[in-house]
Amino acid sequence: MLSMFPIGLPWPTVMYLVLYIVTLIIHVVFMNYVLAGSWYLVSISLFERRTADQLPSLVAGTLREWLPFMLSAAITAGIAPLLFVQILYKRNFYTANLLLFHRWMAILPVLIVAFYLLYIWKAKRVQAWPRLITFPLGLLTFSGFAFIAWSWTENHLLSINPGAWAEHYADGDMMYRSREVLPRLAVWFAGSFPTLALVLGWQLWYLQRDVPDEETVGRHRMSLLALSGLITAAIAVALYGVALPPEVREAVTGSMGWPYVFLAGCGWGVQFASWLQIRRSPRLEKIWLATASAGLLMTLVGVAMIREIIRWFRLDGNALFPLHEQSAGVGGLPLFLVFFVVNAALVAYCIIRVRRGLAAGASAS
Amino acid sequence: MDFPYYPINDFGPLMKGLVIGALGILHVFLAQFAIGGGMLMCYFQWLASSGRCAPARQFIDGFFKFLVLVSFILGAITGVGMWFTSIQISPRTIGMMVGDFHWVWAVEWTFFCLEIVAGYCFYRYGTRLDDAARMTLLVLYAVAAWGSLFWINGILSWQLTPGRWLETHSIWDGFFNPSFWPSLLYRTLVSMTIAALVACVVINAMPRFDRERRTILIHRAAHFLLPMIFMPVLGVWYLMSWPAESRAWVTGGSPAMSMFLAIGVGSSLLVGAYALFAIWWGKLYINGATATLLCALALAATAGGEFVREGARKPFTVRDVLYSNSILPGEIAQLRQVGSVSEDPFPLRDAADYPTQRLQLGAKVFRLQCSICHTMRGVNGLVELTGSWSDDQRRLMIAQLQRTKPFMPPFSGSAVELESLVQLIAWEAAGRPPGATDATLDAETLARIQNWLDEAGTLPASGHSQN
Repeated sequence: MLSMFPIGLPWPTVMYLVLYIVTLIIHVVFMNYVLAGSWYLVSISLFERRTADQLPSLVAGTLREWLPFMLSAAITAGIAPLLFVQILYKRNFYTANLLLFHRWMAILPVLIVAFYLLYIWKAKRVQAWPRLITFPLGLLTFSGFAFIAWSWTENHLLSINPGAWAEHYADGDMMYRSREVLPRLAVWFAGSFPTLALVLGWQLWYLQRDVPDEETVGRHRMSLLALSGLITAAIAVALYGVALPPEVREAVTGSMGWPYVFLAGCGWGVQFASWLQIRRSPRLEKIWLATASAGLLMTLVGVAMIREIIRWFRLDGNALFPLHEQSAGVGGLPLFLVFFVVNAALVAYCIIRVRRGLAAGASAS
Repeated sequence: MDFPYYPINDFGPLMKGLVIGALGILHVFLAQFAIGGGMLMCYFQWLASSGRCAPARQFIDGFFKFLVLVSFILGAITGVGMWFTSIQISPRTIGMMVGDFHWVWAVEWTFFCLEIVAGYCFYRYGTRLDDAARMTLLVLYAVAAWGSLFWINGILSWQLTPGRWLETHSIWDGFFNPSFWPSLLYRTLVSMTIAALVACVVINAMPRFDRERRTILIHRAAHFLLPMIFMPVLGVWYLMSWPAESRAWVTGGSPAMSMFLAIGVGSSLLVGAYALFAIWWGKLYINGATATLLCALALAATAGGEFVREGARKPFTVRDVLYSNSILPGEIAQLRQVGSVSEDPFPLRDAADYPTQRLQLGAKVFRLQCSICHTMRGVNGLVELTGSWSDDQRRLMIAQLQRTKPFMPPFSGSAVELESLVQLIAWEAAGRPPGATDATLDAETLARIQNWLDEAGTLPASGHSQN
């Protein structure tokens, strides 16, 4: 394949790829919030200044308040890409699941424990606990999500390496060892901080929209999170590039993938510049948050496409095309589109209804 | 032939069906609680806003927190877990379901999204909203939750009764299959029942209510138990929509299945009788312990019902399309010629434990064809089931498996593979004696096996299959 990915692929494959990537990006936004947010909880538990009334800072309080919902949203949003990945790469995905077996299934209890821990973090009395307790609690919460991220990374890498399957099965190994695991995981982890900073930044902007400049908080902290995440992610990307086999690297930087490398790079630059501006501004400015959002979207699209190019380069596409065509032949797409629009509208209506209800309540009181 | 071989994991002494069954029961119970919970909240919100029940509003806020903590976390994660477990048990089955119904699943996902957003909006802001806004959110939540049942019910019921889909392969023929409506209505009633019983537990656990208020709330919640009177009719309708063989298994043909049905029916009857005569008729108060016991009975009824539903599909995992060991009926003839494991790329993990190549071949055949429902020595163990048989008896019984037990699929390998499996069982039944050697296969024995295989054919005992 010499043309830009996915040009030249059959339409069913392109359709499922687009759906997969769009839904994956939505999932990733929530997932990044949770992964980086749970790490932030660890640092809060160590360094957060305690006030006499034990009230958390606005940043910490917002994070604690929203993390359970974000995890719920991440799980719900994750169902769609989990569905489309089974259409696109059925055999690879299932085989990797089976090969990692206990390790893979351990995700479920770990996720349940981590989820409940996030609710525990919300409790006011927990915020009064000594650091000797809150730090291990934070570490445990983060470790849960880190374990899940590590498991997904190994699962993905194993799924795109069919040559390793028989040996891996025979060994009964619960871990897949590859030089790509750590740098790839590092890309995800570092890349989650700019997303957290942006979403949390928007939340703080909304909460402080009527507060005078000198009293707003979060600008410094959010830009620090985002900029450090962007720099670390860039280093991790370089390391990952070195860990990739040369032919895969060439595919990414060649005609198949260079537009996406360019897109992701531009997005990185836009984000970096936006966060520098936010750092210099007196408060979280809407305009710079908007440009950072555009930059993040460009980076996420670019990275998601590069991820697929790496996978696609290692798989036999010709064997997959007939399966995608067969799947596209079953009915139901119009129904999905109808309900997607209807339920998206109802989701929007819920939010509008609540805002109106709260506004009415506030004016009445 | 491009047979899709997957790596098969050993669950030790546990039968794979038990693993998915256990998780499935928990998930179904939680999911049905969430569905019924949404409806119950709407009812209580109506009571609150119309002034019919003073403590209703307080109850809703407490109950909804419980619902979020249980259903949004455990329910959601066990739902994902069902997918993961299904892949572990039978990747081909879940692959087929996803392949044929992925747009239905995608529609269901849009309902999940609405359910989560409406639910969290209420959870977070419900106490600060007026009655109309609260009702709107609760109705949207309830509709979304029930909508997810509507869509998944079509896929699950298709597995047992694909109906006209077998001829047309139309998604709507598959979705609105013969057991769709009875199953949907029955599950809706079950959801209402579970929600009412859990509500009774929660009411007792809420310290803000005194005895009088608890009594009022419990009797209001009990209204959701009344539709249970329709369960027998719906249950019979559901059972009548099944294929005759499946119905025969659960109504006496298979003692284990009949027992599970009896557990399901018996538990439901007990809950229904208590609800009708004690709570509704006698206006008795239910304390926390009784309510918990009734919930446990509802869980037992769910467990019985789900086991029966899963088991009734045998020997298929998708009726007339895919056997429980993930082999298509149309593949059997070819697999009998070339061998079922001759191209299996996955080696045995414990090959060194088997002293001969014949036993190793038998172990691979066991792994592919039998291990989905059997272990060698644990639950449903082959050694216990066939240990007392003679070798010739094993050869005949396995060669004509669908005649031996009509809920078993036909044997799908070559005569050599069957003989290897027989030798493996004999070796295991003898306590794995050391010093076994590869003896030359007796041509006459192989010919006899082949004859039995040909005689039984490749069709299931019911005599019809599509592929």
